[in-house]
Amino acid sequence: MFDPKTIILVVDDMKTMRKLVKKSCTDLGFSNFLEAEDGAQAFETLAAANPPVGLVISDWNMPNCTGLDFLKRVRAESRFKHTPFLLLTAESESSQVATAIQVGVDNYMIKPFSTNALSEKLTAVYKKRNPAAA
Amino acid sequence: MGAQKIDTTANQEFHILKLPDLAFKHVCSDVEVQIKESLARANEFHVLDFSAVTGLDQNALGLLMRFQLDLKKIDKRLFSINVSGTLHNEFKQRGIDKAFAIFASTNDITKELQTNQAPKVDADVLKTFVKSAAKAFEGQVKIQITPGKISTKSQIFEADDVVAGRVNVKVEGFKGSVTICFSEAVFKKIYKLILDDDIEKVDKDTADAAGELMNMIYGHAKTILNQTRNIALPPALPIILLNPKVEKATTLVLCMPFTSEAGPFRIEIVFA
Repeated sequence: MFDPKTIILVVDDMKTMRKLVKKSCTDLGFSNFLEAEDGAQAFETLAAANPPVGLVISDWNMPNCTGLDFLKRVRAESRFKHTPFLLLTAESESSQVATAIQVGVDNYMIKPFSTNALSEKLTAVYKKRNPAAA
Repeated sequence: MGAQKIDTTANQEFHILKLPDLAFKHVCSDVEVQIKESLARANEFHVLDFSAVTGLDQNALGLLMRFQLDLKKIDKRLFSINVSGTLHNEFKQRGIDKAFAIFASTNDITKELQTNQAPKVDADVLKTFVKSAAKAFEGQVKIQITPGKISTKSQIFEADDVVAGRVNVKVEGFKGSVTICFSEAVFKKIYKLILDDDIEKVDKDTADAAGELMNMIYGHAKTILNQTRNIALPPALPIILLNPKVEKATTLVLCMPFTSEAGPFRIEIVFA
């Protein structure tokens, strides 16, 4: 599982959802967070973060720059090619999931979600990015 | 004089009766027969074409008035086209112009019907939104919700609504909005259940919980409707409405009420 000191970038246009994601992550032992309201702001935050962000949890459906477009920008930069990325979405259409996988998402989670479900997804993301630890 | 045949052109939408000149008494019996035949037809809309009519015998007028009333009794409608200015004034003076629903052409009648036709409501789609709401509340608020009877409303929002989350939808067969509405007391309880946080007031920082719940409901309904009914609802960003103003409805508004341990709330579907 991710180190509890991992810096998590939480991206969602809804403040309530950012609070909820942070609360769930806090319940799982994490305590370092950065936040952004949309994909454009998230990329700036990601690029400026020092120490670097260790995990991105991003909503899909946002104004200005969607989570998918944010993911595309992230994967286009060599320094962020391997940044673990979890997408949150209210829809579970297979075409949408396929698109996200093609672009390079590590996993996705359907809203509503529980802390247990988030824990499972984060474990899956960690194992994917750290196969030696699996 | 032989019986005058009335031209009864039946096009796809309307049954059109091309009237002879009703200024003459002798045509009345023929008109009576044709009207009786018209009443037996399945067409919902009947149109009197007055293009050949220069005047109205009293008996002929009586026949047409009875025709209009008989159609009304069986939930069918009468329209009139090609009514001369003189005749139109005569109808107005007698106070019967509205009964004859006078239009310039059948195209105008069609436009009128399309504008004022009650929208069709798909019960399966409504059920999908009810199920999606249950899923969103069970998953994120951790409570069961119970749907009440769906009804129509004459206004959008209620006086005690403090916050609402809305998605605007435009898809084949439906244009309008779907909005979840909460009173202050209920919203505070729901917020506490979601985040374990007591809020003093509902403001722009806390109100977006309503938007997020609507996001989840819409997203789930979108997925299900696409998979099961091939209905492609478009992506939609929820809008958050703080202290929404009550508006008189000018179109159909459906109210889907719910009860829960947090209290009652509603989803309103407004047809644009």
